[in-house]
Amino acid sequence: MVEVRKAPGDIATVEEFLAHALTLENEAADGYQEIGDSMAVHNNPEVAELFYKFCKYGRMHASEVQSLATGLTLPHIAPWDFAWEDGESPETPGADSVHYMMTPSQALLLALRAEQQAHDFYATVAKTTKVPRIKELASEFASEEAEHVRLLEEWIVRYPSAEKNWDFDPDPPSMPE
Amino acid sequence: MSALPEQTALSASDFKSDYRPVWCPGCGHYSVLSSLTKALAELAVRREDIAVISGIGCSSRIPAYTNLYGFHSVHGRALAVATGLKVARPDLLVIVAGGDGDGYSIGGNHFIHACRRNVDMTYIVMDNQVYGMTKGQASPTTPADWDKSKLTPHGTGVSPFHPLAVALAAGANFIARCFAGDPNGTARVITEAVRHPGFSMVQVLSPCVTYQPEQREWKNTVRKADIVTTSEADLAARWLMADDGLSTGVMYKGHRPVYRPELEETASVADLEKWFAV
Ligand SMILES: Cc1ncc(C[n+]2csc(CCOP(=O)(O)OP(=O)(O)O)c2C)c(N)n1
Ligand code: SF4
Ligand SMILES: [Mg+2]
Repeated sequence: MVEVRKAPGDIATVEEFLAHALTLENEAADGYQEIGDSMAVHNNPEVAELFYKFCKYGRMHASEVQSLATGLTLPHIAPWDFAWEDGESPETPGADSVHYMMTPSQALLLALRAEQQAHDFYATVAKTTKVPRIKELASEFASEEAEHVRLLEEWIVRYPSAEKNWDFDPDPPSMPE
Repeated sequence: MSALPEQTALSASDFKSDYRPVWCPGCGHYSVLSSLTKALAELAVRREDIAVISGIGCSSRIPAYTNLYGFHSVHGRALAVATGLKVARPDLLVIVAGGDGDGYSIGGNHFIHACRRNVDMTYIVMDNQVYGMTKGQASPTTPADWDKSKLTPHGTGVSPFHPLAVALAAGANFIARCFAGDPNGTARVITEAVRHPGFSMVQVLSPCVTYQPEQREWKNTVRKADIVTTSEADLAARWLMADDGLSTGVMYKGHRPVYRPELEETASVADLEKWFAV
């Protein structure tokens, strides 16, 4: 069955827009926390630390959105009813591309992709909305996300990129004999 | 679903425990946990009115990662435990969760009869076509030519089990397939499954990145089915048998009679304890 999803430009009110922004930041932070935990459990402390850092930034941004929403009643939106373009919150890090031996540069690239997607979402809202206050907020959030992208790009060049055999494990998860 | 008291405004994270999952990074089961907790938040049922029952396997660890009543039971026996619980406590929302090995190998017969009894509960099978926990042996849903395990170096050579067709034939009242790469879509289907009366079967394609790393490709091959949910079992059966197993959606929502014993309690728990004293 083909589902018809709301387009970002169809977000009708400031409250609805802030509900999107809040979920976007919260789900990004939750996603980073979860990947950080999985790295910590699998003995990759350096990468775990990076993901916990991203999580902290996500929580900070969520609380900034929350303060913008002070005095407003944000609507409840079911997870599948958000105006995300592919059905998932755009800044949620792609957990399907993580690996227990991933390197810091790969973690940064994953975060870069998430920030880029968040930027694209806000930029689309800003470009397509007909509500002036939503346009203003979305443009502001898009430039903040663009700044995160720039910072991550700077950060990435400071880390060596993953070596060719980065996932070589001398003691791999064994297959039964 | 029977009428359960509503809880106001809990978020998905309110349904997660403080235990950090030990699943491999990238495992699809993380996403199923997220879908389940999102669905429970939407259903707005009080935490103390929910029980999550599982068997054994990586997937079956899921009750520990929720802060609900749970029972990480015996391999293949989750449905038997859950059936007993729901029949004794019809007021509870009972979720059963586990893997393809747990549900279709050792638990295969319980699976068939749970569908046939059609007790009101939702069964989520995290299907990665492998025994993840015991390090990568073939399971009933493994393709016949999968030759990556040293136990089946030339493939299993046998046709994979077809869980949804079996569930439909055996009497399940709700049949759906989801993908771990679509957590919000999966949350929606779980919500619908819980709301539909009777035994709801939800197969979630959930990649095992360690022993079936080729399943990372599912994000490019799994797609939403172009179907309208039917209540006619023959139509659903024809569609299921023609599909390649990679289409997602709710295929069937039936009106089959739900098993609800109306018996009055005839003995107290104290009496039962006396009879079973060793
Ligand atoms: C009675 C019994 N037999 C065998 C086992 C070994 N065993 C543990 S988990 C498992 C298979 C799990 O596979 P699945 O249910 O697909 O879960 P996954 O780990 O793939 O998520 C087996 C055979 C056991 N624990 N108990
Ligand atoms: S072995 Fe496979 S199923 Fe088990 S946690 Fe790892 S990726 Fe998941
Ligand atoms: Mg399995």
